[in-house]
Amino acid sequence: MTTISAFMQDNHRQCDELYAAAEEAVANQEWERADKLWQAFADQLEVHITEREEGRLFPALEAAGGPGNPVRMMRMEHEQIRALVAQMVDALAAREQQQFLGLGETLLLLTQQHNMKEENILYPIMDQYIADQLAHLP
Amino acid sequence: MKMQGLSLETIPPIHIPFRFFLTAPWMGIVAGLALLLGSDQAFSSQWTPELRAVTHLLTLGFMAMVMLGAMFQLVPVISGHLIPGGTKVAGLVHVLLSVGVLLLVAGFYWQAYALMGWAALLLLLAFAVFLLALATLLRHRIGGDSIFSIRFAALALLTTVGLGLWLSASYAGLTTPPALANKATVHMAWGIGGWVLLLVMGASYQVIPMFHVTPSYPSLLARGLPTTVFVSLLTLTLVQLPEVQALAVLAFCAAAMTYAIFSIHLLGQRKRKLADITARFWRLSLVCLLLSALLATGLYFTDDPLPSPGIRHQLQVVLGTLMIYGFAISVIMGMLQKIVPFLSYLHLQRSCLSNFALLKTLPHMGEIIPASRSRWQFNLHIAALLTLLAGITTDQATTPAAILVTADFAWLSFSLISATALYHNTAQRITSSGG
Repeated sequence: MTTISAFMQDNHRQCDELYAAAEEAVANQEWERADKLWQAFADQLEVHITEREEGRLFPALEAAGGPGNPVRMMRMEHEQIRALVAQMVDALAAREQQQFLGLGETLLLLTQQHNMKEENILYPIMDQYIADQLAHLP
Repeated sequence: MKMQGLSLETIPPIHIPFRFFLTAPWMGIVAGLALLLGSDQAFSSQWTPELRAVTHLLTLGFMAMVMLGAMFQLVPVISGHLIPGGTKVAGLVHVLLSVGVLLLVAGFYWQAYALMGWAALLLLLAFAVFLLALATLLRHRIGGDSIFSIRFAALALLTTVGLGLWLSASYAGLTTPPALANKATVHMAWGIGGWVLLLVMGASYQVIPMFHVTPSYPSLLARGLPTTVFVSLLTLTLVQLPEVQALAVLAFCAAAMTYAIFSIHLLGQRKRKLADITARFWRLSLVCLLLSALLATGLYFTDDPLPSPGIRHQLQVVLGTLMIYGFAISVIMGMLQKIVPFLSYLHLQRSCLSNFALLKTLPHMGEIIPASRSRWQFNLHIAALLTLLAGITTDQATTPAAILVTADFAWLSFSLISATALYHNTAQRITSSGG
C-alpha cells in the first residue's frame, strides 16, 4: 500500500523532470517547444501545491490537530516559489534566455530544499495523522 | 517522531557559514605561497616540512573550514533544530580553528615544535565544541541515508583529531607517541579516507539527486558503502594480522571505487542536460577518487618489485594529491559555486517578506556567481591539479604548480568576496526601501 509520503515524493520527482525538459528547451533556444514544456510543468506544479497541498492536505492536517508551524512555513515558501515562477513566465515571454536560466537555477534549489523539508518532516507527519487523505487527492 | 521544538524556518544567520567560507580560500593561498617559497625538494616525500605544512593548510585550513561552516548550515536545516549556542558557538569554533591551524602549520614549516602544543590545545577546543554541538543535533532524528553516513563521518573525525592531537603533543614533547604501527598513516587514513570520504558520501546522497535531478542512491548501497569504509578503517587500525589487513584494504578500496563508479553513472543519468560546472567538478572529483583507490590497492600489494624507495615515496605523494586536491577540494569548490549564491538568495528573499514587490529586484543565482566565473574556477583548478601532479615527478613544475594553486584559491576568494559584497549591497537596498 502506498503512502502520502511516497505519492507526493513521486509527484516532486515528476515536477523536477518536467522542469528539466522545459529548461533544456530554453537552453537550446527552442522557444515554442519551451512554451509547451513550461506549461506542462506549470500545470503540474499548480496541481501539486495548490490543489493537493494547500487545497487538501494542509487543511486536513490542521483539522486533525497536526503541528501548525511547519504548515505555515510551507505555505510561505509556496508564495516564494510562485513569485519566482511569475518572474520566469515574464522571462520566457520576453525570450530572455540568461535571465530565465539564472532564475531557473534559483527556483530549482529553492524547491529542492523545500521538498526536502516536506519529504523528511511534513509528509511523514501526514502519514501519521491523515493517512486516509491519500484516497481523496486530486 | 518528536515534534517539539521542531521548526522549519530554522536557517542559521548567513554570517555563520559565510565566515568559514570566506576564510577558507586564504588558507589555500597561504598553502600556495608556502610551496612557492619552500625548497624544490618539497615533493620528494610526504614527510618534508613544507608538504606537512601545505597538507594541513589544505585539509584543516581549507577543507575542514568549509565543511564545518557547511555543517553549521546544513544540519539545522535537515534536522529542524538550531545548533545550541548558535552564533557564539560558531564564532568560537571559527576563531579557534583559524588560529589553531596557523600555529600548527607554523610549527611544521619552521619545525618549531613548541608551537604544536598550543596548536593542539586550540584545535582540541575547536573540534570538541563542534562535535558536541553536532552530537546534540545528530541524536534528534533517526534520519535518512545522509545522516547515517554523516554519523560515521563524525566518529572518523573524532578519531582523526584524537590521533592528531596525540601526535602533535608528542612533537611538542608533552607525551610519548601513540603505540600504533604507522601512526601517521593511520591518522591520514581516518582523516581523508574516513571523515572526508564519509562526509562527501553523506552529502552526495542529498545533493546529487537534488541539484542535478538524478535518480536517488539505493538505500542498501547508500548505507552499505559507509559501513564498509568505517569497518575497514577500524580493522586496519586495530588488527595487525597481515591477511586481515590486506582484506580490509581491499574492502575499503572496493567501497571507494563502487561509490565513485555508481555516482558517475548517476550523474550520467541526470535529467538536467545543461552544462553545469558543479556537475563537472563532481565528475573530476569522482575520477580522482577512483584513481586513488586503484593506486592505493597497487601500492599496498606491490611491496617489493618497485625499483626504488624514491618512486614509492613519490607515488604516495601522488595518492595524497589525488585524494586531497583532486577528490576533496574539487567537490568543495564545485559545491561552493552553488551554495554561496543560493544562501545569499535565500536570505535576501526572507528579508523581502513584508514587501513581496521587492522579490523581483533580487539578483538571481546566475548573477551572484556568474557561470563564466565558475568556468574559470574549473579551468584553474584542473590546471593546478595537473601541474601539482607533474611537480611531484619533475622539479621544474614545482614553481608553476605553486603559482597555479595560489591563483586557484585567489580566484575562489575573489568569487566569494564579490558574491558577499553583492549580498550586502542588496540587503542594504532592501532595508532602505522598507523591506
